[in-house]
Amino acid sequence: MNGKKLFSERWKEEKRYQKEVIRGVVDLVTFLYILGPLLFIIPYIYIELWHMPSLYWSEKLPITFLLLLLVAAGAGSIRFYVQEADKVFLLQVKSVIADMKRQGAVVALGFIILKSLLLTAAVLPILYHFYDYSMRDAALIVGWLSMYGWLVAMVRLTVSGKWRMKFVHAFFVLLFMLNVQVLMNPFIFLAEGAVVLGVTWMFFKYSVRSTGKLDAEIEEERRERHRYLGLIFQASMETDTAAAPGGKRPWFYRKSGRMFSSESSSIYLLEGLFKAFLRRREWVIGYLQILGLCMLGVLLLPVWAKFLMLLVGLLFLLSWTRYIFEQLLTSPFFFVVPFREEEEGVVWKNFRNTLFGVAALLLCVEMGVLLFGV
Amino acid sequence: MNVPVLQADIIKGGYQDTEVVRDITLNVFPGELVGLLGPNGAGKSTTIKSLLGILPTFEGSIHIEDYAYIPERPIYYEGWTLYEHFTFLFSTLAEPFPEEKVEALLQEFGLYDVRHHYPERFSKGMQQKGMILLSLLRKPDVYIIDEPFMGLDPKAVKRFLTMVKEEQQRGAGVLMSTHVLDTAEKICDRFILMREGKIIASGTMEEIRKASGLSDASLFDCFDALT
Repeated sequence: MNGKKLFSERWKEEKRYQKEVIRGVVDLVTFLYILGPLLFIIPYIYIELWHMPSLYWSEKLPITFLLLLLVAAGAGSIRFYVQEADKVFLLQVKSVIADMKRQGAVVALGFIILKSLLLTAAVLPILYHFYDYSMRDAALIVGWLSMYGWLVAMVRLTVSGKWRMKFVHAFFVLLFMLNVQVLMNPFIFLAEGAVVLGVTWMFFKYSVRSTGKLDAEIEEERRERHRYLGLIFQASMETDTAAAPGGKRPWFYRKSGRMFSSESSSIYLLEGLFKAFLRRREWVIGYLQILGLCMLGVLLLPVWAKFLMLLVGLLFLLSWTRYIFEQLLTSPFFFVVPFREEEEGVVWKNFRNTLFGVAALLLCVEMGVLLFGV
Repeated sequence: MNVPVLQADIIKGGYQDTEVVRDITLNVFPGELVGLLGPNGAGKSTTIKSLLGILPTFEGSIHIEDYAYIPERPIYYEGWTLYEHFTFLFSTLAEPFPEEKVEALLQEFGLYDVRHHYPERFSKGMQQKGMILLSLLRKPDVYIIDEPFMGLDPKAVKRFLTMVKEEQQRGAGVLMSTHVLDTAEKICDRFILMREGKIIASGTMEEIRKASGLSDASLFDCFDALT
């Protein structure tokens, strides 16, 4: 089987898989009551955005903020559906891998252009009403956003090293911002486009042949394949969702230092649970997201709904904190070194008072400031 | 009288619908090293899980006070560095943390430079070394060890065996499941041979030879004949 055919088969299989994943969540009821109405409402919202843009955006907000949102959503990646088993077979026929990468790159380019078009169209009313951008300017933004997404996608397959990648990414973001905010000129666009074409030619000729990053590419493919599944698991409290902490060593307490000075075993256990919590990005982000949403709700809703939001938010946060605590205690490591079961109650109290307590305090202070202006 | 540090009488043990082990009686006395042997699927790991009390289906009685468990696949706490595992261990023992001793052992086992790293990122051998150290530092009455030699380099195996010997001399009992029969023959005081979830022979090397009908044979040959 040649690379083109294999890519096409894998692409179809991937679509089938993702369809099954989505169908597992979006049943008829979800579609009828959530997705259906949402799809129906979106065109109306867009029309309203054109007629009354101040309902959705403030002129006080700088355009840099909007462009950063665009650029955050605009990055692309080239998928060529390589799998673990390919290491055994395809490494011997590297031309097949190169073919798959080429096919993946062409498909990715199509999607990146489409995405850039849709993103720019979505924010067009804001660009037009608040920042005086014309249709020609918007077309240039689509072009630059596509080039940015395309360059990022190529870099992901070419550059190795996390920090080098971040540096290159930051450079492209800055270039995009500079283009849109300062250098809005078709000639500059054409000149930059010529450079990107040259880079693309080099990419198709040389980079696609490299198999030096195959392990990382397989890992990236696995992550992409399970992206929706991960989102679903992330939203579910019925399954263990947190991935293992990343990196060789922790960011917090890099030298295994103590959080608390007490030598009691319950404090050691509490400290261990806090460290484990803080080192799992998904949990920390989840905590901040819940807290952020509650605070936003309290900020924006009418007074009676603020109280409802506060109550529901606090109850949810409490049950989420309990869930995390139980997850932290179910490690099989405690078969190897058991903790004292009688200490679980004290540790839970301290754990709850810190995580839930901080969130509750913040929400109550916000409520107080909004209601009494203190 | 010599009282066993581990006494088990397993009538049956297994998982939801499957009964894996049956009629297992075993004792481990202080200072004794007992080898739990058997082919793959014989029920050694299930027996060990019965002893630890983590089997969904279990009937029988287990008498075990203070034990340390070295699993076949190293188990660490996700989100803790190797060093934090040691500090946690000593907090559960209500003993002051012997920093110098732990650091010397880490140095000896080649883990000192990675002590502040996540052990999940270590190689299999390094993970196993860390697990062994965690268990040996507990100084329990009895050790339950499942396939300890997997992934260990020869130097680490030698150091591990020396430490086990020291623990036996202290009076600790050891139950060790292994496939490394040459080593087992040299270090174990008694053997328990299992097949299809049952004990098919047990006793000293002499008694195993008698059961297999092969006088002067090695444990390897006896194992082959009996299983």
